[in-house]
Amino acid sequence: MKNIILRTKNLKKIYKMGKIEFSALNGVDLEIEEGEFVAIMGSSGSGKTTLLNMIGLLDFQTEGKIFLDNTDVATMDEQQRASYRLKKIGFVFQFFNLLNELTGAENVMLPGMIKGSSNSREKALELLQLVGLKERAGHKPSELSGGQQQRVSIARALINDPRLILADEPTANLDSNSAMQVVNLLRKLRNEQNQTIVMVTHELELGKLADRIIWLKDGMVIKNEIN
Amino acid sequence: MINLKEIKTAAFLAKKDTLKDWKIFALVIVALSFSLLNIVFIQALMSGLVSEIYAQTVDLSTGHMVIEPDKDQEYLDNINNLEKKLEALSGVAGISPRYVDRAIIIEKKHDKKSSATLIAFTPSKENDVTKLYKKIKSGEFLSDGEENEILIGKTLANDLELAVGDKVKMVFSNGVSKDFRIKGVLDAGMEPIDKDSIYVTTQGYEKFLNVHDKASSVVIRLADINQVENYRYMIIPLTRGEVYTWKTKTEYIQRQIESWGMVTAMTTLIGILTAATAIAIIIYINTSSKKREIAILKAIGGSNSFIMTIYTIESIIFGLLGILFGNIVAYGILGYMANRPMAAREGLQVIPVYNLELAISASIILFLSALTAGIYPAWKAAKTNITKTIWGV
Repeated sequence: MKNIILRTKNLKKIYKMGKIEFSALNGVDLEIEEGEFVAIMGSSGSGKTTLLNMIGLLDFQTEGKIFLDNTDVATMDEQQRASYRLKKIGFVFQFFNLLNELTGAENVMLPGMIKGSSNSREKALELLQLVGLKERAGHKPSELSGGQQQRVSIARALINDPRLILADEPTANLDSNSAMQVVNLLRKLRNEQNQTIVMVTHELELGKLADRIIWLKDGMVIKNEIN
Repeated sequence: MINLKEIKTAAFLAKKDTLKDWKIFALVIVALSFSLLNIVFIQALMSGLVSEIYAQTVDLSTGHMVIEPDKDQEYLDNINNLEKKLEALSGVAGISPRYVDRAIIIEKKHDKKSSATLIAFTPSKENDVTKLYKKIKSGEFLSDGEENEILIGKTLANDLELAVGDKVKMVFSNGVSKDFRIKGVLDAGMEPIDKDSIYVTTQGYEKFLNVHDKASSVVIRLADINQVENYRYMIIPLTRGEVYTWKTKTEYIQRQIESWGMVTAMTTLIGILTAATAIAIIIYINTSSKKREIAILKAIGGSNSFIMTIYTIESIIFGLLGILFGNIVAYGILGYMANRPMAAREGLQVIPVYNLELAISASIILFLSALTAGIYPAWKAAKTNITKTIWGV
């Protein structure tokens, strides 16, 4: 029996805009196993990014529970969440979100440095080799292509050996060739390192490369599709 | 609680971020430096002006000490005897008895006339006490024993269209009149001297006024100006007159300076507040523009305190460099001006005086302004919702 790494129970998120309330998540129950590559899909406004924010501890849920490695993370305060994000979660963003003033290697090292790891540089170079960018380690983001920036971003997400990688539309700003390279890299991480990955995407073709697709509609899970 | 490794990482990021945009970096440093320079320099000029006015008064008028007759007496008597007693005091560098009177000076060609203060002294003695001899604009200073020569202030000379070598008629307070030749014109940079003073020798004055061994005042120079109070107590028993120090004789200037002091203090305060506000705005805008970076750092696990530490260190870098640069520039300019005094007006050369205490206070205030200005927006940004800033940026 496989280990459940992420579980949500009746997860709800209501946004208030003045007197108007908007329900983005309407009681999401899901389980993700260790080493699983899951794609979250759905139309715009279905709650994909909101769900990612909740399980990535970037935002507070209105109701419900989130268990990461059987720890109830929903009750954590901001300080504890920051620490948990640093040690257990790696993020890959749609717009890469690298720091422009840092080189590729420095961007990768950064979470390791914040964590206080002593071997961040060596590890960053290993990860850049893993994503095929060791020779670009000294280049700043502005000197890298979109695909290369996203691969640096993936290396950054891996630096602290996270339990979970969350990728929010990581291919949305890439050409099809680079997009495929990025998804293949995520698959490689899953296959070779048993890395658990949750990826939000619009593109069914890429979603089908994951182990499972979780379909969302109106803030609820409507279908689990095993590929 | 933030640990040492996090501080090291924060310092690394602060350094990278600070040096990322050289234009902003230079702008903040220059703004801070100039703000400091403005405060320090204006105050230094004021201090220099005040010092110069005091120095001029001491050097050209009062000496370090002045003995004057009691209010009910016109003259100090037995001046030769008093001089001997004063000479016996070690540390007394010069003694010059003076007669001070009023006289009417008449330019003979056009019959122009003016009332003026007439001061009589023995030039060799006066030169030991004041530096009036250095203020000759044209002609020469008086010599001992000259009875028919006078010195005249340049403004008075201009008003009466007089020049060196011209003959004038003087009518003394006892009604006696006599012709004199102008030997020198003085440009002292002090209105009472330039506009209202005529100088003759004691010998000439005593002859025409028929007074002897008397004086309207005795001015004294000490070897050490800081000992004036001690000498005052030593001199009081030697005379029946009143003994004043240069400080009491310049009280009118002090009162004037106190009123300037209020203006200067207000100017300094406004300068500091303006500078602090300007610095605050620049650093605020600079830090506020970093919301995206802050959100990224938060998303990858940076705590609020870690982010605050980055921007605190940045503000410290800005503050320290700005203040350091500002002080170096201020010190450099003031050093340059020490050898090239600024002419506040003709005859008044001002050397700015660096006020260390003010420089330290202004530095601390500007440093704290830079710190507050950097920390507040960072604190605000650190509190913002990451998701609003980071997704879709």
